[in-house]
Amino acid sequence: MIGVGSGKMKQYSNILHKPLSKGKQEVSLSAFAILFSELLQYNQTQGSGLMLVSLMEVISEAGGCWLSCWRSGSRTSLSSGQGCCFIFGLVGGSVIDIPFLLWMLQGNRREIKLLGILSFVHSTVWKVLFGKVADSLEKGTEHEDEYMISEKELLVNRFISIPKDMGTFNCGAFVAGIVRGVLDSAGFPAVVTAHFVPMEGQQRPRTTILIKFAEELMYRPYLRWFLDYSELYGFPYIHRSEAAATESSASAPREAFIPAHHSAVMAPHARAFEVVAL
Amino acid sequence: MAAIYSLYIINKSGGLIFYKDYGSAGRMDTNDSLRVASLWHSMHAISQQLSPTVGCSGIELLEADTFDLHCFQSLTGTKFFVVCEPGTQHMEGLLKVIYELYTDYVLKNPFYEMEMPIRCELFDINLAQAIQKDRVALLGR
Repeated sequence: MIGVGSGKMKQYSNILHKPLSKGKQEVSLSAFAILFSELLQYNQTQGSGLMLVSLMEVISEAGGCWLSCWRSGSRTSLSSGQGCCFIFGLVGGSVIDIPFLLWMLQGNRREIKLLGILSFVHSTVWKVLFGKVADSLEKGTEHEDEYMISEKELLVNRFISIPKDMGTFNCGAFVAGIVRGVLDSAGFPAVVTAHFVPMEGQQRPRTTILIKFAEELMYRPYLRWFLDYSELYGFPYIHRSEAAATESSASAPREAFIPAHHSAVMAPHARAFEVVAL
Repeated sequence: MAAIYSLYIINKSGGLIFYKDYGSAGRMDTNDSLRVASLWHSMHAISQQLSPTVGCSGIELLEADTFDLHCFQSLTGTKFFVVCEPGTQHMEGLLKVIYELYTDYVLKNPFYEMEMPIRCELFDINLAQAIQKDRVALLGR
């Protein structure tokens, strides 16, 4: 362990073991804006004629990638003080984990409910990334599984004017990628996209990050109920092969029951989809 | 009152990349503005060569009977100049502000191609605000 304020620098045999200095937790906005702009230009020119939609996907992927770079670099102060570990998530495969997103950004708490993870993204993650809480978090009116995080002026969009011929292109896709990475790592797979939404009385539209959760998440609370129920009646263990069956039958009593264990706290690193092994 | 007649931005090879006129006086069509831009570019370069002082960076202010022309050249050779009423003050400051807007909303925009005409919505919005602010300040003085 590293002593705090001992006044003597500890000697490290390997430079990789040396923790990065805590320093300022901010980077220059100009530097970031230029880097981001170059990233986009590179993807535009190098990507063998990328279509607009796929360019948006690419920068969304880059968002996830950036998330893992950011973890391995400057944010060591959040870790246990053992220096940085260079772990890069598999971006395309949407496996980012990154020691469980720094053990949920050092809140040491695993969110198991949708609203919990959403407010975690909306406040904690946003604060770490942009130094402020997101402007609003809303639930979609048409679909139960859709949520929106809106920002009047998203940091990545601050200097960017989209040409008229590019239509609905939104560089917020980068942030959407980050959000997707966080949600995936926390065991809440979702499709995350960025959109411009015009505002009344405002010259500029605001950016909305639309989160559409995977269908199975809607049934998760009921799945837990089913497992506890089956335990009670003498089926303490459900085979993996039956997992699929569990899910489909768990969806049946959907309207009838309010899950009793809705607030049950799971073991921190038990991933939600490994619940069959409990 | 229109203190500022027009604003030009020319790239390092003398091509006009941005032109905007304010008010009715000194309005020009596209061809004339292009001509003024390349003329100014050459005159600026010649003045640098002819100047008796060492390390001269070109003309900064041209005073005529009917207008003043203030010019600011950035380190990369992009020139910003405003044509304004004779005796208008604080134009250097305004040019610096415009340069700042250019670096923010044009150079940090991934869809802008270097040395090409500027078509950035955010630049237009913020420029209009800056000019407006300058006008208000002028009225207050």
